[in-house]
Formats: sequence, structure tokens, C-alpha cells
Amino acid sequence: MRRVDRHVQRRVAVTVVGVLLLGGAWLAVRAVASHREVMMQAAADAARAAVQAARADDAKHWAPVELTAAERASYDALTRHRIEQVRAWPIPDETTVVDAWSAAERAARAAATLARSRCLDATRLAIAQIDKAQAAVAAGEAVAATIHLGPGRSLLAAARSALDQARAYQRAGAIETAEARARDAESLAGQVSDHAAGVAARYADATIIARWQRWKSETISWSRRENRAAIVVVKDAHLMTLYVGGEPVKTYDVELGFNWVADKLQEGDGATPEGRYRIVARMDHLSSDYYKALLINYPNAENRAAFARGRGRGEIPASARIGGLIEIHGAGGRDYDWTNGCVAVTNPDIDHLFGRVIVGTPVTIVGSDTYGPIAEFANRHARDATNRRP
Amino acid sequence: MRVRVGFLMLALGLAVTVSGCGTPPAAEIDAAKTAITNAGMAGASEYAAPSLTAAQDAQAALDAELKAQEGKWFKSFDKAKELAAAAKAAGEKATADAAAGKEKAKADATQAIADAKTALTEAQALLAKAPKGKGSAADIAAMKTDLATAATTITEAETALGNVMYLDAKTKAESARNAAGTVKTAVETAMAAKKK
Repeated sequence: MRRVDRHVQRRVAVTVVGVLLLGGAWLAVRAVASHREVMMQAAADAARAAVQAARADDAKHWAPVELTAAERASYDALTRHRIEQVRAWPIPDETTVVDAWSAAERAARAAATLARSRCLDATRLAIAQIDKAQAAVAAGEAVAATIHLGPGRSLLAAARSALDQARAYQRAGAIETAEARARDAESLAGQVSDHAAGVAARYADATIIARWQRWKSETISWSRRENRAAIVVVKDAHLMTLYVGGEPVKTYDVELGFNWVADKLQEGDGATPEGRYRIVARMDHLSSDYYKALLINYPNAENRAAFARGRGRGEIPASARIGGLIEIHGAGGRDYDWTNGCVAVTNPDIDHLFGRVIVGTPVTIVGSDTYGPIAEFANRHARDATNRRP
Repeated sequence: MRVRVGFLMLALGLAVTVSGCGTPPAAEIDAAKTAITNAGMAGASEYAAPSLTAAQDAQAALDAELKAQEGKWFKSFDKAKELAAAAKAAGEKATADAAAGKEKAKADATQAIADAKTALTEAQALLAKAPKGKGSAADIAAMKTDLATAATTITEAETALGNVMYLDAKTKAESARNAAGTVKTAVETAMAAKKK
């Protein structure tokens, strides 16, 4: 009986010790597994946060290849992590998983850094381009204040609209589109200035100014010599002066063609012609649509020759006509250049003129009689163009 | 002998039961993939990018679970079923968010065009009454050209709206509205100066 008791006691003791050892081993395994899971989860959280940060930096737009690589690395790490979590062996191999998550985190941080850098560079470029466009539009508006642009005005309006859109795209975060629209604005504004400068170049040409000054002085000399009335129109000053006996009697404010800066070449171009003309007809208020009118002999021989040269160079289409019916007439006083080429004055002014001129009175029209603001603009544009050349 | 046959039958039954638990939920997985594909086709990448990203992350979690179960002897796809349902829901949310985002962008663009047209009409009416006296600051012919350009920009905005380019449409319309507003302000200033 005592032998049996000791045998049972020994078995119980062994069993208890065995259970305790197994329990202890199980707890130790669980502790190790839990610790490793914490490490893997920490690495996962860091990697996920890095990916979210890269997305928040718009890496999808600015570093799409790098972000895709980071996301793929993250999904790969997630797979490895899950494999270790579900495997039968209770202790996960955290090294492989943590390494995978760390690689994903590094890739995401690199994508974010690259995205921020590219976005910053693009934003700087866009802002610089918007500033250039703004300067070009301001230059175009300065041109508009100096000379009437005529058809070029729509280019200036389009340039302003493009600049406005560039700013709106920048505010919306569409940086590359903002830069592109700013380039459009700069180009359009440049065309305005180029167009105006081309037309204005004559006003800075010494030979042309000298010719205009000669025409004016010869007209005044004729008026003095013949003791008769003569008219001189100076386009850039928008003034018309009546001379009698070589002395100025009255100066009138005038309104000209909407494209007055140019010299008239053809019908419909809106330009007021330059040259030496004479009054060939007088229309009173019953015969004129503009109260009273003095018709001049445009086109003269010089005008016809210029028209033929223009046709020959292909600058004037074959279907174009030289035009005519250029008058000094009333119905003016509108404070802007509205005619198709005629010289308009107020009704009281045409009444004053009508009583002092006759058929045959010389009418000399010049662009300018000095180096004025238009010449200054043309010279400045030429200097700027020279400075812009590489 | 009977005991051995019994044990054999038991083992066979266990194997059949275990293999029955280990079948991937094909229908749920396909439904999740379809929901996310639909979200992409609905324009979620443009109009609901965060929702689409969340759906793609949910898909990745499902794929990771499926791959993890592949390597196991005793498979269990209960969690995969949950993840598939979550991915499907995320895909459907991305589709709904894309539709809402697209509708809002369209509504914003449409309103911007309407505002621009109103501003243009007001500016044109005011310009017709602009003072023409000597010294007036209004360059009437130039402003007529500016309003004509604004009208052209509104037409471009309507074209962009028709082509589902809502940001372009809204930006162009706002630019036209600003141009019309500038003309209106200039004429109002000239009118106020004339009254003094």
C-alpha cells in the first residue's frame, strides 16, 4: 500500500511539474509573440502614416511612379505581415515583416520629398511666369493708353483674360495649367506690343518725321505767300489748325479713324490718310450725314502709287479697293476715334471752318510734327526687343 | 479491425469538413473588385480621390488576407469575407462620392457661366448709357472690344462645360465675369464723375 501511494505521488508530481513547465513555456511563447506583433504593428503604422503623408503632398500628381512603388511596397509588407499573423507556428518572424514595412516607409517618404520639391519648383515657375505675363499685359495697356490699338485691342483683352485664368488655376492648385495660361497671356500681350510697335515705328523714323515737318512748313509757307487759308492736321496731337496768311487762326480738336496711327492704304482699314490734299467739294447740312463736310481729294497720285506697291508686295489683297470719300466733317465731340478715316470736329467748329475755306484750300495731314509719345513707345519697344535677344 | 476503420472514417470526415471551411468566397471577392472598378470608371480618381484610395487600400487588405490563407493547411476565409464586404462598401462609397463630386463641379461651373452672362448683360446695358462728354475716362470703343472678348470667353466656357471640363469652364466664366465687372466699374466711375 505504501509503495502504491509513493508511485501515485510521484506520477502526480511529474504531471504537475509537466503542466507547470508547459504553462510557463506557453506564456513565454505568447510573450515573445506579443512583443514581436507590437514591433510589426509599430512598423506598419509608421509606413501607413508615411504613405498617407505622401498622398497628402499630392505625390500622385508630382511623383506618381514613386508613390505607386511605395504603395506596392506597403501592400507587399501587409501580405507578409498577415502571413506571419495566421501561420500555425505561434512565434512570427518579425524581422522580415519589419524590414518590409520599413522599406515601404522609406519609399513613401522619398515620394513625399520628391513631390514637395517638384511642386515647389513648378509653383515658383508658375509665379515667375505670371509676373512676366502681368508685366507684358501692363506694357500692352500702356500702349493702349498711348495709341489706339484698333484690331489689336481684342488681343489685349484676350491677354488680360488669359492672365486672369492663370491666377485662378494657381489658386485651384492646377500649377502647370496656370503656367501655360500665363505663357499664353505673355505671348498675346507681346503680340499687342509688336503690332503697335510696327505701326508706331514710322513715328520714330527721322526721315518720315522730316518729311512731315517739310509738308507742314511748305503748307504754312504757301498760306503766307498766297495770303490764303490752309489747313494742317497733326494726327498724334489730334489737332487741326487753320492758317490764314501763314498765321494760325484757330486750332480745333479732332477725332480720327479708329486705326488712325496707320497711314491709309485701302478701304475699310480705319486709317486717316497722310499727305497733301485739297478741298474738292463742300457739302452743307442738307447734303451731308455729318452736318457739314469738306471732301478732300483722297486718293491722290502718291496714294495710288502706294496702293499699287502694296498690291505688288502682296500686302493688299487683290479684291481690296483703295477707298475714298475722306472728309473733314461735323458730328464730332465724341471723345474717341470713331470714323473710318475722316477728320471729325464738333458742329460749331465745322461751322467756323466752313466760312473760311473754299474748294482748292490745301489740307495737309501728317502723322506727327515732332518726336512724340508714339515715337518714344516705338524706341522703347525696339530697345526692349534688343535686350531680350540672347 | 472495426476500430481502425472507425478511425479512418473519422479522419476522412475531418478532412472533408476542414477542406469545406477552406474555400475562398469567390462571389464576395468578385463583387469587391467590380465595385472598385466601377468607382474608377465613375471618375473617382478626379472627383473622389481619397475615397478611391481608401477602396484600393481595402482591396489590398483583402488580397493580403487571401494570400496569407493560401499557404495554410487549415484555411479559414471568415476574415476574407469581412474584408471583401468592406472593400465592396468602400468601392460603392467611392462611386457615390465621385457622382456627388462631379455634380458639384458641374453645378459650380454652370453657376459661374450664369453669373458671367448676367455681368456681361449688365455691363453692355451700362456701356450704352456711358457719358461721352469731353474728359470722360471711358474708352467706349475699347470697352466694347473688351466685352466682345468676354462674350467669346463665355462661349469657350460653355464648350468646356459640354466637354465635361468643369474646372476649365468655371475658370473661363470667372475671367469673363471679372472683365465685364471691370468695364461696369469704369463706366460707373465715369458716370459718378460726370454728376459731380
